[in-house]
Amino acid sequence: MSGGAAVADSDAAMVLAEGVHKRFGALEVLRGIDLSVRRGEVACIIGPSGSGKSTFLRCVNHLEKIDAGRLFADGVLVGYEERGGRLHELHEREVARRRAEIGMVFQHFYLFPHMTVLDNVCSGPLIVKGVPRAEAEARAPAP
Amino acid sequence: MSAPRRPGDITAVPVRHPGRWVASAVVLVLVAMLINSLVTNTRYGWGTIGHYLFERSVLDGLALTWGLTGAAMGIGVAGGIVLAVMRLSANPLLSGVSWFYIWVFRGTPVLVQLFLWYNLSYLYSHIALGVPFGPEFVHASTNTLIPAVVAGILGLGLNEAAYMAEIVRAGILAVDPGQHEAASSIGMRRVQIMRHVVLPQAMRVIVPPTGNEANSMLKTTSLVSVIAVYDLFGTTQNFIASTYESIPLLLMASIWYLASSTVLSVAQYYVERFYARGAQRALPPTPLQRLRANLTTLRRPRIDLAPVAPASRRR
Ligand SMILES: Nc1ncnc2c1ncn2[C@@H]1O[C@H](COP(=O)(O)OP(=O)(O)OP(=O)(O)O)[C@@H](O)[C@H]1O
Ligand SMILES: [Mg+2]
Repeated sequence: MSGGAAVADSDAAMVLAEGVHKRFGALEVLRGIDLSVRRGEVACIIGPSGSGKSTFLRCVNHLEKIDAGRLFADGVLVGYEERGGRLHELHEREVARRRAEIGMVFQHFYLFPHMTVLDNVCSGPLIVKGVPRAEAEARAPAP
Repeated sequence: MSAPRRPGDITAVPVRHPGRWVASAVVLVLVAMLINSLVTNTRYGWGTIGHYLFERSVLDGLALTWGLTGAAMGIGVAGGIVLAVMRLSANPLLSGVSWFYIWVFRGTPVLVQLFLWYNLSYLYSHIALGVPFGPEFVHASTNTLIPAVVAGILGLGLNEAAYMAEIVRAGILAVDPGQHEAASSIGMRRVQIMRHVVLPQAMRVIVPPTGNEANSMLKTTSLVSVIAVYDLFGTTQNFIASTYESIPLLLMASIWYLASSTVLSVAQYYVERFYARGAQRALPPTPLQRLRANLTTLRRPRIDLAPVAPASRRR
């Protein structure tokens, strides 16, 4: 996957990629991705199997570390903090806190098989955000 | 078009198995011979067995055997989880220490380890709490801190931890790595992922061998009789020493071990059933359900039962 020309509009962008590179060993999967997705915009990433679509999405959630470039989610640098002109890795706690703000559906869904449907839906609010069970369960069914 | 008529139900003559009848007859004769000898051979000493079975000190020994099993398995499971997580850690020091522990404790006989704990005071005559290489705040003699029973629990438990570590590690590795990622993508932290997502699913793989370990531990505890702990077997040996009724007393102990391990097996069955949630469509039948299903037919045991209603599967 290599980047095309896209408008970089950092203020309004929900997801902003600037020259993102990612390699697995000798295989360079992402070669300079530039992308900007504005709030409310629906974007489709289309490509042949193995072209790096999933890899890019995983990078946005910091499940993979990028090798070069910058990735921003909601205006915040993904996975790092820039202080004094240097990048600092984020503590696990902070990474988890930011991930909680990003929704992601995996290619293989990865429901938690040992939980009921209701518990699957509630697991985020219940375990991560500490919402009381009654409140989480009340909010779970779609209106 | 009229609805097709339903054909009549099938009533076929079952295949005959003459070989089964012959085999059954042979087995029945052997069983009859065994029962005959149990009744007529007075050396079994059923009266002696009955006399000692509910003797106060035997029951105390039995309680101690259960206590040792519980305590040793408690240390084993807790230690095993810690060792397994350490072993899978990216930190080479942690995984190295865990590897070394497992290597040492699995590589030496538990009987030798029991004697080592029992004789710990030879190496360290007193144990103290304080700053490493610095002043001590409290200290006590090793022999008062580690009486024989504690030495037994430590010996059995720390040895068990090494075996449990491998069982837990296998369970953790059996969980789809995608589960780990999915949990981190909704913002769970490492400890939360372990506790809420990975371990509950690993349990399905961990529980059956752990039940096996507990069952084995129940009988391995009899080794503590060599360090002067009066568990079921120690008490039995005491009576043998004073009455010389070896066979009846050994049978008496065997009856209690058998009864105890039966109780453990039933408990294990229900624990396994609990952790099968999400992995199987229908829960396996309980022993009672199985019995009821088999009572209705003499010809062929049925174990395939209708799926358990989903409502009963929730917690
Ligand atoms: N953890 C990894 N280690 C090594 N190679 C990887 C890893 N993850 C992905 N790859 C490789 O990176 C390439 C891109 O994979 P990716 O899963 O992103 O493709 P995709 O576009 O999502 O494909 P699909 O349409 O089949 O889902 C593939 O060649 C894949 O084998
Ligand atoms: Mg994909």
